[in-house]
Amino acid sequence: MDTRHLSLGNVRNYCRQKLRIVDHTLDDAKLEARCPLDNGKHVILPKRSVGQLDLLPGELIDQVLRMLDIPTLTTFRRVNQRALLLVDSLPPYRRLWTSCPIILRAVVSINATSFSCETLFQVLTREKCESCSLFGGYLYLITCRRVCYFCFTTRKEYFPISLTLAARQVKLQKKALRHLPQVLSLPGYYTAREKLSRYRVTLVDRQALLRLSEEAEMLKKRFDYATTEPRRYMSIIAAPRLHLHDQTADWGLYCSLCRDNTEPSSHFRIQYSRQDIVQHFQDHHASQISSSLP
Amino acid sequence: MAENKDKATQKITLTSNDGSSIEVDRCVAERSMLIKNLIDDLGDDSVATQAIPIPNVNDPVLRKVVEWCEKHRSDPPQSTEEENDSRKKTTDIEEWDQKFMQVDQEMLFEIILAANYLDIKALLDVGCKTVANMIKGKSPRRSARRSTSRTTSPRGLLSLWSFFRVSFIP
Repeated sequence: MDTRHLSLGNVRNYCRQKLRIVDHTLDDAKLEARCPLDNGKHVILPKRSVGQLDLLPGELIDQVLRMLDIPTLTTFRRVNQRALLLVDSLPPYRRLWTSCPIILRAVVSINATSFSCETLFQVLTREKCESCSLFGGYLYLITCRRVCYFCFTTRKEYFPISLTLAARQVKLQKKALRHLPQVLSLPGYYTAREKLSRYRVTLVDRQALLRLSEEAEMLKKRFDYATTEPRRYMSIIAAPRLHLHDQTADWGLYCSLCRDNTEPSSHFRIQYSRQDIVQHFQDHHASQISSSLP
Repeated sequence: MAENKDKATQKITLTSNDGSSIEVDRCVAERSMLIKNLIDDLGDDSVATQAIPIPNVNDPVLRKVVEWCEKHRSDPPQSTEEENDSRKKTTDIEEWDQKFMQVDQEMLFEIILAANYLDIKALLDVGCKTVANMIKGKSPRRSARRSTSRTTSPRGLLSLWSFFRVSFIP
C-alpha cells in the first residue's frame, strides 16, 4: 500500500497515550482524593443575589470573573448559590471542568494565583511548547506556560526557586516577594526516581525573580540536576490541547515504534498531535508500516 | 492640519438624564465610541448647535466619566487584538486610575454601567479590574472570624458577604 495515504486509523496500533515510565508530576499526586471538587454535585437554585455585584448585567459580571484566577473563583463560588451558578456557567471555567478537571484540581491544590481563568483557557487552546516547536504536552503552572518534557526538565526558566532561598539571595523579606508568581507545592514523590518531598514549599518563578534583581544571578551557581530535580516537577501537569470547534481534547500521542530511540529528531519522549503523528510515521517508519498493512 | 486641530478642540455639550449639561472638547467626547458614531452620523454642524442627550447616565457619574476621558485624552486609540490579550492577562491598574476608582461601591458600578453604555472600552476595563481586585483575597463566609486560619492573609479577614452586602439584598 502507498504510505502517502496513511491516516490516523492505519497507525492507531503504533500510537500510545502514555509511556510506561511514571514521571511523578502533579498527575500522579492523587489529586482526586486531595481535591474532591463539588462541581456538578448540587442542584443549583439561587435564592439570593450576590449583593451589589448584581447591579451589573450578566455580561459584565462575566467579564469581571474572567479576570480572576481560579483559586479566587473557587472561593467566590462559596458565597452562595447565585455565585456558584455564575462561576459554573462561566464559559472558560465550564470547559475546563468538562475537558480536564485534573488541571482545575491541580491549580486549586497548589494555589496558583498568578494567571486568570481566561489566560489558562487560551493557553490550553494552543498546541506548541512555548520554548521550542514540539507538541507541548504539559503546563508549567507557576506562570501558566505550555511546555514539552525536554524544556521543563532542562531549561533554566522552568526550574523554580524556593521562597526562602529567593529571599536570602535578593536580600529582601519574604513579604516583599509576595507579588511574584508563586505556588505552594504538595508533599509527595516527584521525578521518575520517586524522590520524596516531605514538606510544602513555596516555589517562586525564576524568570520573575531575575527580572526583579541583579543579585539573583548568584542562583546560577547552584547545581541543577535537570531531569532528577524534584522542584521541576512540582508545578507541572499534563495538559491536553482543546479544540474550540468540535469540543474535543487532544492529549498528545507517543510513537511506539520509537520506543528505544534517543535521537533528538525522533526521541521516544516526543509527543505528537493527531495530525503530526501521521506525518511522523510517513517520514520515519514508512517501510515498517507498509509491510504490515493489508 | 489646522482644520483637524479645530475639530479636536471644538466644544460639544452633553446633557445627563437630570438635565444638567457639561461642555467638553470634541476629542475628549470621542473617547466614547457611542458619541463618536453619533457625531459621524449627524455631521459636524448639528453637533455644534445642539446638545447630545445621554439618557442613561446621571450628572455626578457623567462628570466622573468626563474627568477620566480628559485625563486619558492623549491615549492611543483602541487597537489590535494582540493588545487586548495582554490587557486581559493582568489585573494591574495604573496609579492614577486606582485613585480615580476609589469611590463608593454604588458609584463604581454606575461608572462601569456608564462606560458600558457609552462604549468606552478602556474605562470599562479599568472598572472591571477594580471589581476583580475587590473580590480577590476575601473570605466567602458571613462571619469573618471563622476564616481566621493560618493560611489566610490579613486582607482575607474581610468577607465577601459583608463587602458586597449579600445578606441585605434579597
